[in-house]
Amino acid sequence: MTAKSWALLLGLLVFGGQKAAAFPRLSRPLPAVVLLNGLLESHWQEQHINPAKQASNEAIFRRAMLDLLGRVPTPSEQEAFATNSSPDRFEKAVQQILSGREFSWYFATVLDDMIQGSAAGNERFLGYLRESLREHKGWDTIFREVLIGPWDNEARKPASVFLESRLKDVDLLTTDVTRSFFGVDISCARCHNHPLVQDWKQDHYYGMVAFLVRTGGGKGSVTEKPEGEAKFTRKHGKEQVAPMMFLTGQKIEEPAKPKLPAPNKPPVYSRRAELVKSAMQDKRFLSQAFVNRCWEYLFGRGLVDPVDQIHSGNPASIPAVFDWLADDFAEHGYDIRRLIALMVTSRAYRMDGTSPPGASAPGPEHFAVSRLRPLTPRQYVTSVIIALGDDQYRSTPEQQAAIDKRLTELMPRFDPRTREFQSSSREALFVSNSDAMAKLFDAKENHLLARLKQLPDHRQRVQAAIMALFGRAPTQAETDHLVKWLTAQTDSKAAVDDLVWALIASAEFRFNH
Amino acid sequence: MRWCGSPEHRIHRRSFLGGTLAGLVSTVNLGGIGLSAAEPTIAPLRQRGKQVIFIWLAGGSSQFETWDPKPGRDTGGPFRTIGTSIPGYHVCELMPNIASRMKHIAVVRSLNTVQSEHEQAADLVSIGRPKEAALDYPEIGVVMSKELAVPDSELPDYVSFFTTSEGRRRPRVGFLGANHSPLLLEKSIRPEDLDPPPGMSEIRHHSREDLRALLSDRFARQQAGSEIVRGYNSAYQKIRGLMRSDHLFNLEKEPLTVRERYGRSPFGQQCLLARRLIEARVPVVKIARGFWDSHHDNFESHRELVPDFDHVFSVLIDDLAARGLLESTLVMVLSEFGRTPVINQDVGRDHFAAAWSVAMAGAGIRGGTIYGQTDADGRAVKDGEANASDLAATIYQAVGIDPRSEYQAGLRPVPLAKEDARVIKEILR
Amino acid sequence: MNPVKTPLDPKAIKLLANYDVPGILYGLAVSGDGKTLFGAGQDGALHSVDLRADKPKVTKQNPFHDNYVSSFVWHDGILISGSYDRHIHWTDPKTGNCVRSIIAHDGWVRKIAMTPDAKHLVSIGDDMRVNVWDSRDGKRLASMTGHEARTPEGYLSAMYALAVSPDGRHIASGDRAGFVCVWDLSTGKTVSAFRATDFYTFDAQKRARAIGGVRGLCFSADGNRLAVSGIGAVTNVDGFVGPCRLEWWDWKAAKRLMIGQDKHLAILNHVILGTDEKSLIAVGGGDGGGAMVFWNGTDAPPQVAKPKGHLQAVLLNPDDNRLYAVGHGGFQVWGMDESPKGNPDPRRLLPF
Repeated sequence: MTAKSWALLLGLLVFGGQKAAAFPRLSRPLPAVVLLNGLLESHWQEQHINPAKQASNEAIFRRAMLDLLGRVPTPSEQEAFATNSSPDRFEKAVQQILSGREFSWYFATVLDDMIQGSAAGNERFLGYLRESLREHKGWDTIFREVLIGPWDNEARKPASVFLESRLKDVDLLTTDVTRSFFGVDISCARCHNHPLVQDWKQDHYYGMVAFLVRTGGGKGSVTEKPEGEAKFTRKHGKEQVAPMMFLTGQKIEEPAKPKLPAPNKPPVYSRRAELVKSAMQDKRFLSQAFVNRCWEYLFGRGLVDPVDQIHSGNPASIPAVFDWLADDFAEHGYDIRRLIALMVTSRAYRMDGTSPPGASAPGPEHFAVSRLRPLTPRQYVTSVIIALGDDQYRSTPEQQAAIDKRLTELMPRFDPRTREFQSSSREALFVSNSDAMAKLFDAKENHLLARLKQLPDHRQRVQAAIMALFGRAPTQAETDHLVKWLTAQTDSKAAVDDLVWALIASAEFRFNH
Repeated sequence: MRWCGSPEHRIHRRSFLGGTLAGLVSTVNLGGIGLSAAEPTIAPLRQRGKQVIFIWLAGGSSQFETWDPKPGRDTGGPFRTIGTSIPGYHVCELMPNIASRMKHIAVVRSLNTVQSEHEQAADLVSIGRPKEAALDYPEIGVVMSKELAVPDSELPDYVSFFTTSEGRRRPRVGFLGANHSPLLLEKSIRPEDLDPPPGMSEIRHHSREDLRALLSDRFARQQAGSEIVRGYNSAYQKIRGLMRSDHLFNLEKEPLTVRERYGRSPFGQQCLLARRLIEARVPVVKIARGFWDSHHDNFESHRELVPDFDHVFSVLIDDLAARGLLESTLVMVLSEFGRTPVINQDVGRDHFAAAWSVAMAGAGIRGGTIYGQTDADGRAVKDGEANASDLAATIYQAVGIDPRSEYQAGLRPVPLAKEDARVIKEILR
Repeated sequence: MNPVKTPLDPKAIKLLANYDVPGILYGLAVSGDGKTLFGAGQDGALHSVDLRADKPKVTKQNPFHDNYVSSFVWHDGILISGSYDRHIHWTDPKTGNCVRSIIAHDGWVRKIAMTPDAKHLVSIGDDMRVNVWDSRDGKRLASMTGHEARTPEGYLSAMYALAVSPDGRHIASGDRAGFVCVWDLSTGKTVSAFRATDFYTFDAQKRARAIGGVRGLCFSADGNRLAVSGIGAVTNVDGFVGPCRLEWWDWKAAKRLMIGQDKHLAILNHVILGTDEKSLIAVGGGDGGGAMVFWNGTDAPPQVAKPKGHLQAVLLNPDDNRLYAVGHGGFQVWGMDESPKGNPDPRRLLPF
């Protein structure tokens, strides 16, 4: 723990103790969460922000299921959670989610997006990430295996896919390695010192290129060439060779070559290994980039925003939280589950989406109110399938494979969760009119629609539908309105279908909140 | 502040912020990035009645085989030139129809846009400024669709066709956000899923959508960041209009003689559809005709592509003029770059951004103007050099949008065109 | 002259000499005595190489056509040339004087050829016609139509390939969309027509621009078969990114007999008969670089030599198995001779 965070903790004990005590349900949390909450509380106090009230346990359970398993809970899961009277039932549920097989299965797709960006979706790489999460590998291990292997067995071989797909273009490789793993975009410093960011000079860009310039191979293998330099020309200068230099400014000297290198043997010396070594010594870049990306995933925005712009001119919106999380992550073996658990059980994650009355809404960078986040196509489609399903979903490999098959067909039809989320009429037309959506509504036995239709009256149907799809009980006014609506429809059989369609296509289902 | 202290990014609160208009600035959801954009924009900015068709020649069309031929030079290639209705100006012989319609058309022959890699160049030309990590700029067409939008229209503000695969691009909405995303037609010229599900009555379709909208609105009312739901609901609102405007996308509704005039090539069909959409008051339509990237066999390719372009473009201009739409419709022919003077060993021309041409007609354009000049071999701009920002500023100005007017992104005022952009007034009326 | 008995060995063939000309040459001819190479192309000028000189070099004469020169025929001391300027010229190469000029086509003249009896000159052009000329006075004897002006997708087509049968009775012509017509020279009628579809790539979604076409044609020695050259299915949008391809056809039955294709990415612009009269030699270039392809017409795949530039035309001297080629960068001479390192003595290349 850094001196800074200790100081903050002390401050918290003096000023923030009372606040923390206002949450009796957190009577036995992880000490780290108390500290994290304390840092958040003191930030809000300093900024005179009145944070939102805590959301209901049911709401955050649903929120976490969507974030960590990529789907809404089934009715049985909801019921099990609702009937659990333990005061720390949410923490327990998170623990259970994180230790399950389904978490690895799903969360690997999140890591895939983080690492691969627009190149995400490679089945082999995804398989590697799933296996890595199952084995509880730390982020540092994944980072190392992606960059230098060893790619010596079937399980680890696909880790080389990241490099493999970027072999042809060392600039792309350099930019993507720094963006994905260090949260830094230095590509503008390629042609000149970064015009906008004082931190990044041409030396940084070519220093990073120097680590990667010898990466070669192709057709399923990645190698390190014995020769190759990063050369560049400064404005009004001569061409020069760039030494290996990490983002911290630390330069690496290459050891002199042995005079008679053994013929036909791969070089023992690897510049990429030097990069991994530098990053592991520094810890900071590797750790904070991942912390920031996870935070963005869970809260809709990074502590540093955008996530690839971590530099001195663009500080974190809550610096103490950012620094503390990055330290904690590195100090605890880059344990992905621990980090996720901390964030998800923190005060920030439990916020309600309604601003406290009277106060002006705090900016999104303060994380004092829960903000709507669009579901990814994967989350939305999976949730629709499961919510309409037979309540028998146990995330068995067979069930997951069956859902994956439908995902491949359906996901491209939905709007991706991008930095500026765009709702398109294309998705709206698809959800409203397509055969593929109509097929999902073909009622079978035990299907949600079939179950609703068996219920004796509209009131019960409305209650069951809202519970199944929104994970909460309807309000009285809501029930009255929807019953009235159902009764008014001329085609009463179709009316239930249409009610369910309207719920699924409504914002409350389309967005995580 | 969220950006990096470069002088380009300084906070400069220009006059309008100090005045009454500041009140119009409201926060717009940007997927959590927390910028706020001017919404609605400054009233005088808004132009009524103007429309735009972008014709994007994807892959990079050759200026030598179109607007800036160099016959008889080593770089000129085998095509000869023909005279046009502008004395002294010749175009490639592959464009006889355009040659006789030059009184409607202005050409800029002196673009130097530097960037000669497809993706970056396409971004540069369609955004009108270099990309910037800290701020995501919208495409020119998206800005125009916002500014030229017809209030309460049930049609989309922007329809973008891209049915061929080469360089398929989705217009960037950037900081303007989701509400301004265009209707994309990528598989065919008819939007998918326009028909209601089989057996569903119109009443039912409406009724369930009304319920969906009501539930969404009620939900959003209590939520922080709910602006995002506005965009979501407006996407659903738009489909009513789209389903009703099904006939617009149906070329069968067009008289046979007109369809034959446009011809049966996909480009011809897209242009005919563009004219139908313009006639129905859709403010911005973009058509992309791909496969101009002729690294090999350049002349055989252009011998195929240019006559098709010449024919269809001429028919479009005639048709718009005959219907009285050309006066109010800007037709822009753009590409990511031109092609090299050097003819390579595979009889191809490669990417070239240092001296190339674009053409335009219609609203605001002084037809019959040829602006700028390249040297004898077409290797460099000799006169009237213009860059992508100048071009963007000129496009805005042509339809009466002041390129210096600003959007508000967070605390940062962002002019529509880059600060140093120069409008090419010579080609404007 | 002693005919060389050994057939040409594709594996042993190598570049013996090259003579640089900037840009691209399309037309190629050798003088009747085999002593001079003629080439012309992009710059419309006549380029020649005197192979007897100590240090052969390229001589350039003033442009004699107003546009690209596409094709050459040597006849009796006179060089006959077809050009994109629509003309055919008869030129005395010694003086550079044009002895006859005709407007041959309403469109680019793509190829010209002479019948074996030298009575008729044949030409194809982008008016999609096959014209027959009296070679003595340049009078048009016939103008044959049959190739469609537009491709099946409705775009402008073009005429690319021309061949005359060894007995002089038949003419074959090939176009951009892959259509081949065989004509009876005496009647001017089509005697066979077929489409070599695989030489033409057009995909409305992925590649809405045609590429390929029948680029080269040649008859077998017995005149019964017709070889077609070009490029197979093109995968990329921007050029010759497809396998180089040859086919043998039984033209009378309009039936394809054999395919010779190699993964080398190139288009084969010109095809000629090889030394053993069963084999084919074709040249071209593309994404994989230049191509010089040898195919014995069997199931065995073609063998590919990789010249340094994209080649447009090739001639074989059957007496000594030397290949003359033109294309990007000028002239190339290929053969099996063991040459000393450094500059080869080109006189050794000649059959005297």
